[in-house]
Amino acid sequence: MLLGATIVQVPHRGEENKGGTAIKNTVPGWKLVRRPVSYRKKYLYSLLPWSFVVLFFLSLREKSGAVYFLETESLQQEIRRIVQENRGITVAGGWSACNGWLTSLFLIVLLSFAGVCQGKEVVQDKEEVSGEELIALGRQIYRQGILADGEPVEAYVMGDVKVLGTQFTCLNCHGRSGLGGAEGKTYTLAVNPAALFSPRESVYLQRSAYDEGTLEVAIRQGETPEGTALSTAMPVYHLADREMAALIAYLKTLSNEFSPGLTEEELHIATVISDQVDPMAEHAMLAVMEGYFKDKNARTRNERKRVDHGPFYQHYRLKAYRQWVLHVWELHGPPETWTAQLEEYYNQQPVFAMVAGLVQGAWEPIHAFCEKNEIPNVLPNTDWPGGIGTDDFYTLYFSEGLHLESRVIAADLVALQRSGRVLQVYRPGEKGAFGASSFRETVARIEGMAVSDWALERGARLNRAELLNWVKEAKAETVILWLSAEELAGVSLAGTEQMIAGPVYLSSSMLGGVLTPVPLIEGKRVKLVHPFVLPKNQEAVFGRVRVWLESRNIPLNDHRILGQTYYACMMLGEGLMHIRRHFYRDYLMDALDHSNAKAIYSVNYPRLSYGPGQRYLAKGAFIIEETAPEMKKSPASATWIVPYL
Amino acid sequence: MIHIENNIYSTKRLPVTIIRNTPFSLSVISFFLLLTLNVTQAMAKPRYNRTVEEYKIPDITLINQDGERVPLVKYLDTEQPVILEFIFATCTTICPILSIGYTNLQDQLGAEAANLRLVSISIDPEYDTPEVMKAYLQRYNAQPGWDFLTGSIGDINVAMRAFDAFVPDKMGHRPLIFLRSPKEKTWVRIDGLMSGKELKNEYLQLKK
Repeated sequence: MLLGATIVQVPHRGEENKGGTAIKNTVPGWKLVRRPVSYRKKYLYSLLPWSFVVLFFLSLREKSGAVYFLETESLQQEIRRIVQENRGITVAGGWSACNGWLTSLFLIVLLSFAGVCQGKEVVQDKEEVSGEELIALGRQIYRQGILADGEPVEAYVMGDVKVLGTQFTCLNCHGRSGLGGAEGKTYTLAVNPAALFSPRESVYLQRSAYDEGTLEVAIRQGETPEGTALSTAMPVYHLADREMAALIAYLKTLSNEFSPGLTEEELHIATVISDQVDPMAEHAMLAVMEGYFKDKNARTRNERKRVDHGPFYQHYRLKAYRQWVLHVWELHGPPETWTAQLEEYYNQQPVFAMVAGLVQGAWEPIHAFCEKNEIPNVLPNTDWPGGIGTDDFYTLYFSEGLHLESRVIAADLVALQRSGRVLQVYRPGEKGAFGASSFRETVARIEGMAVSDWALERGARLNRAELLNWVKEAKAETVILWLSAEELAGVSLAGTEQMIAGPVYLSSSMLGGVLTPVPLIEGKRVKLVHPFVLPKNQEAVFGRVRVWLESRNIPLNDHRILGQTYYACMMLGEGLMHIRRHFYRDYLMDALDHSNAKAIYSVNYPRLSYGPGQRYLAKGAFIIEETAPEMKKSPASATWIVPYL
Repeated sequence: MIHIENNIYSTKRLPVTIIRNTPFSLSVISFFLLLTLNVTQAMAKPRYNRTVEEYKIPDITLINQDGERVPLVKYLDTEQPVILEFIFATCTTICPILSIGYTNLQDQLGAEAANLRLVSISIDPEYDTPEVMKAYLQRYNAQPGWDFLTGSIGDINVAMRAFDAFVPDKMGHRPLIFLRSPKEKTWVRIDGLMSGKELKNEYLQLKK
């Protein structure tokens, strides 16, 4: 006996589907799948109401016992999927077939016959899933383009180009926040509830509010509630009802409530400082931040009042202004305890975002904290970033720090065709150790290269005789010194050409980011990895902040920290300006991703570049040779290397 | 123009009219079918700008997804038809559509696709390393004949300028497609996103 079936019909949007409903009501357990199609296609279907007789016989050859409407390829595939999902008897009727009583009755007879003939087992509707599961599935569809069964979402873009969810997803264009964006003259519209479920009456976009039904039509068919066509750059999605419900359930949660750290008047922002950081750097960072916040608040102090005092055009925009409030979160004790301290601070005063920051050691604990609580962290001052090699979202770094430098060194060695033994010297537990472990990891993939490490004892300085001894023991031809200016002080490599055959690398970040004459830096074999602006340009580029700093009586001591912190604050402002009154943290990150035009204002890095999902802005470094003191003016040789490793 | 739009309007109403009054004659149906053909023609009108241009290929060396050096002049001096686009791997909105257009074209052409040179040039060269480009091509199921090229920022800027496609900021980038037939030295420059059919038609015109 026929227990159940799925009817696929191709109805007119908004029309009563009498036939389909009739069949559904006649035989209990039958499921109705509405599949709206474009006007043109529907017209074709309507011409062929008689053809399902032929199709029925075709279906007898199908294992699933389905009646197919062999129309366009896309619809065929869609039906095939529905059949696989339901494993019942499936009838794909034409639009007219499902709209008339007589044809419906005829269908029922045919179906019963098919049921008797094939006696298919019918799987009942899937169990009802909870709201949260539905949202999770929707998130998976939105972000990864993967359906519940692990198959990729299928869609058609530009009318006829098939796209799989593994190629691109909703997130690719609409962003993690769903607030959309622009590229050139191609605009992606916002898909958060505030945008979807309210009418749009701007100069650029007019439509009434979507409801669930019309939203389904928009996603499946590319039509607004008015029946006008959406851009064909928006794909038309083939989703089963449950998947559609999941996606819509997720969209209802997407950027629906303002993120924490925000009041009517204030926007709370935190920065992090740990014990044992250089007091000069700490002072430099805080002075810049306080100055920047004070400036910003002074400039915008009256903006919100303007809303009440005058017929300003789009006055609602003025409501986006908030006073920025800076919270300095001081971390004490060992890094293992930082997470708990951060949570404590955050519970006391949630912040909307974090900016800059300075800690002794790895940034990882703060990185993980921000990732867990979904707090944007804009450009911390660190050479030891977290999240490398992951898809983490919430922390934006200047670069991969010493990881980048280690890859640049490896790329330079490969270009020189210098394999063989490399000796690394570093101090354990400090950022130099991170550089050393990164290098070891990087060259593990390169044939013929072997690494020996030498850990410098705490408090010790590099000693020429000892170094040469280590080189000899390790049979190294290349040396990397992950050491600070202090640790290198007083060491000269003059006359060591016989003992060290290859280059000696130094890290500019380890030396403080600014080239201070180090006695060791003599002779052409010493190479400096330098991700920063070349020394000869540093004065000029620092001019971007010099006057601002001077007029606020901030001492011009630590150029690197001053420049980076100023730029971090500027980018926070840039991002907040772009998100306007849409205070969603994900949107802040999405907006920063599109801030490439602001890359050139960097004070320290010659080339930053932003891009969606890119979390480390500087992608390369200079290798500077000829590091004699006069190089401050013009190094003889500086090569920009982007490591392809 | 107004006339055509009227036709669209009437076909929108069409199915309702026919089906509600079932015993409509075939002649009426075929009459409306003719209208549909008319609409199809109107819809086939390209949504993009198409011009024919002459470009001088710059003497630069780029790097492909396998990390191999590719001298551009020599690479494009080929007997195969060439289609060239500027994209970047983390691009939103435009590049995914351009790239899926390549995937679709290769699919449609089947074995013939091997005789077509598809070129994507990165405009975010420092992020788009060979490793990133290779993963990108895999994601789009690229078949042999489709190369993704990167290079130094200087060289990439030269390449963009050579095709009058320079943008100072990659986020301001336009959907440009360049096609060249083996015989001609001129390029067909297309500004605008295309459907699969449109791209295929442009490709077939190259072969004429």
